[in-house]
Amino acid sequence: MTPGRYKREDADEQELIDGVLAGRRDDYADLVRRHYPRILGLCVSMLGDASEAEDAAQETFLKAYRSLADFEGKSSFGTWLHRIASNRCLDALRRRTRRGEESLDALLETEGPRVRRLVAEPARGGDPSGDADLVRRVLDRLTPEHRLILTLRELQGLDYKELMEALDCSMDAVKSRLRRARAAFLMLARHISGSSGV
Amino acid sequence: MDHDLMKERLGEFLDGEMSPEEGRAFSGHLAACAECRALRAEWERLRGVFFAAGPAPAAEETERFVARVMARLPEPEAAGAPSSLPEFRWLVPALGLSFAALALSFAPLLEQPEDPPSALLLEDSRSPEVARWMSSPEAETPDEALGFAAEER
Repeated sequence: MTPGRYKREDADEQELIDGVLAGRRDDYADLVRRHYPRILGLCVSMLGDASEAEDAAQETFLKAYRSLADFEGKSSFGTWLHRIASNRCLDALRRRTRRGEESLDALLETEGPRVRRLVAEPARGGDPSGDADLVRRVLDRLTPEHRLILTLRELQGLDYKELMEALDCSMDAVKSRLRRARAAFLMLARHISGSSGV
Repeated sequence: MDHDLMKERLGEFLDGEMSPEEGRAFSGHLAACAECRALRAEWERLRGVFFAAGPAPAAEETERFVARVMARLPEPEAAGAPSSLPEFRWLVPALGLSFAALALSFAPLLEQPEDPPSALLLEDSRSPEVARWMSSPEAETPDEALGFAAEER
């Protein structure tokens, strides 16, 4: 799965949407097939747990189907799906109880050297699944909102206009939120690595 | 742009969201500023670790997911799923207004005839004048029968 920018709706996709609205349910299978990898990627990055991410992705497509008549085409269908998935993931993260959530100090105590290596050096030939778990545990330290905008921008490759549509906010808000999210993430990474950065 | 503003807008530059003129100015600053270059390198390294794309799902996994979603889709009539008649929604209120207008237009035809003046009088309150009016062939109106003069304008 390679991050990339969503293109504006092409004629094929608009035909599929029109087909679903006209009662051709099988056209929706094609839409799901097209967008599943990206939506799953977003949910995995946000939620960490594969099973929970799959559930969130399913609910995203079900919600989109039920609301398809309300899709006005102001954004691309993919961006619209991102918006639905983002809200679902945010709700799930906010519902998670803070009890049992691992503190950063506890994480550093148990996995300090690995986490520091992860932050200080790019993962090369390491343990991908183990690193993925560490990545998730580090990203868990971010607020859901910071984690979301960073995921949408860095992993999903949404440009600023698409971010505006996915997050339903102004361009200034997108820039401001990204700045704050990146600053928070840098502060976290530097705290882990014990460096003061630049 | 000064250095602090450059640092603040590094993200926009990395995201390719600056105007061409701003981008050129920023590139020039980067070439001359070790601090901003180090910040850029730090961010790109972290981004590569923490936001790297995972492997795409296999085709079989995708098809299983599609099948699960399709099996859970609501029936169009039951769950308000995309209707085949969204373009006729306007018809319902339009029909309602038309029916209301039609009903109002028939209202005058359904009016009951006015009660005769005699019906408005109580049986036991009938005065001799009223009795005279009721039996008088000359009086055309109750006023005439009761001797009221017409008010002249």
